[in-house]
Amino acid sequence: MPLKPILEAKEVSFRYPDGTPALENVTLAVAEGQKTAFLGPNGAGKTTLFLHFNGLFRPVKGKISFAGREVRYDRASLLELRKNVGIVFQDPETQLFSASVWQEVSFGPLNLGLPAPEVKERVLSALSAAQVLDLKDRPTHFLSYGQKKRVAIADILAMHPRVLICDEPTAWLDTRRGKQIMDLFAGLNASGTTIVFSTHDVDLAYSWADYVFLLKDGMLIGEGPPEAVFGDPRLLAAAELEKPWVVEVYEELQRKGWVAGRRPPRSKEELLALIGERGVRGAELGKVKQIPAR
Amino acid sequence: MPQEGTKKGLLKIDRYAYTNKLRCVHPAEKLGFALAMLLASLALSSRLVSLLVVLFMAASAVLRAKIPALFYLKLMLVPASFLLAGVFTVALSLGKDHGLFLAGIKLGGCVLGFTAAGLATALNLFLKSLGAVSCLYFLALTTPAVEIFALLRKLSPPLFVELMALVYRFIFVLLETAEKIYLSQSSRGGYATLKTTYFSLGQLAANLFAKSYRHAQLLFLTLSARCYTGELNVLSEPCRFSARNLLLSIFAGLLLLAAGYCVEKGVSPFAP
Repeated sequence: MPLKPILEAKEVSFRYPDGTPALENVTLAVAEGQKTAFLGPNGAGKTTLFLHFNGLFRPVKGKISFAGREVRYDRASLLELRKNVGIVFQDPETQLFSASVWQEVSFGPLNLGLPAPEVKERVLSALSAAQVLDLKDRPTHFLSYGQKKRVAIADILAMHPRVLICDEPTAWLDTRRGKQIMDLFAGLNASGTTIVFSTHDVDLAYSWADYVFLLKDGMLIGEGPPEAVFGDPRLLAAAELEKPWVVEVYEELQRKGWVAGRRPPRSKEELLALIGERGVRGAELGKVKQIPAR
Repeated sequence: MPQEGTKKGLLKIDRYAYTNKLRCVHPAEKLGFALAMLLASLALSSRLVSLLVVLFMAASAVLRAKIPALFYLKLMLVPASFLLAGVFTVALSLGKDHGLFLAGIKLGGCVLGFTAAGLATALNLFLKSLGAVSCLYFLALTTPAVEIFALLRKLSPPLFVELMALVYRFIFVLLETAEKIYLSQSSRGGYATLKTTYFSLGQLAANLFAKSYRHAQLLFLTLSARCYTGELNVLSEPCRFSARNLLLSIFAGLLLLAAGYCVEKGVSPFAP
């Protein structure tokens, strides 16, 4: 069954008021229910594109669509769009406006016009999902960066958007916290939320995403499933990206004739499983053959 | 650094506001108590009442809210030193009647010095102001700003309270930004000599303005992303409210007023 697009950009161009071009004729579609990664060097236009998806920026040329309907820029349509498309900004310091964590998270759901008891419930569940429930009575200015980042994520979770956009979710977080955030997103995705994120971490994008877009200088230079995108050296070079280490190791092992498989492994675990089958040449990935004990 | 003292003091007051032993008391009760004492101190220009308010508020903050006595004392020293300098000029008077002056210097036919009445006015003013400050300190040390805003939201127009809340949040953002700029400047010798200090401070001030402006713009963007339509609606958590405590506070204020009145007028409330 073909996937339904939820967010679409058609020939979108954008210039900042000072004339700096930020997006150049971008056409792409984010499929509903997928984990979609945007990669590209700094200044590639990832954040600018995200701000278009939420209606904060209006394209100079071209169109943005949500769920098959073209985005309109009157007040009511924008509110409707922002209800469905939530965006977590990269720097939580610019997003957190309240001195209280509890009040901060309650802002979004209250704007949706929900009654107080439901807002309360949503705030509690968002705080606990982002693992900051213990901070609910703490003032925002006593939080560490990592804590602020997770409160910023709870801000959007409490609004229950259909699409959750996150600008560099793991930047500045330690490895464990970063993984927890990605696990949280995977859980949301499993229950139907479309996840869109930008990252510089090729390993994360390769293992985690269902689909990848490569941007550079405001233009879309490549897209596809991670195996295809990261298996294309010319495309990676154009986007100034490194090959994920799993792919690199796999290709080296393959060159030496030590492993064989029809498709490269997607994660460290898959790669290790493959190496474990050394000697069972030609074995297909995923089918672990038992070597009889001597 | 220049802002460090202010920042530490501010953050400490804020920290106590969240951790003191009266944290769970409803903010309306604490506000009522502070206001009752404030009014008692301001309504009567009575040294006794003002002194009682200063002592009572100190006892409430230190004994009930468990604010460390030394920190409270240090905090009180700040307005006290300003006040001393201020009331000095009030105490000083110029006159011709030598008999009225307790001490002074002759300037031609006049005397510049202290009279009993001048000293009394100065003392009155000093205690009255200190009493008022200790009421405010009590509120600041026991009640988080956020709860005061929530309370005010019910009493005054929302725009005013929203502005206060934003200003409060931005104080900390600004302090943090200033601290970062200062650190990066001093790491490159920006404060090595008096000349570079002046230059660096100027740069810091100019940059802080530019950064705050940018920050405000970004904040508007991020709020809009969450369906902001001009009103910063937030949910405040209800506290348990005790009318008894509020009434007790008002009663204590009235008692102070009555006591002060009787002492000033020289009447005994127990006289037949």
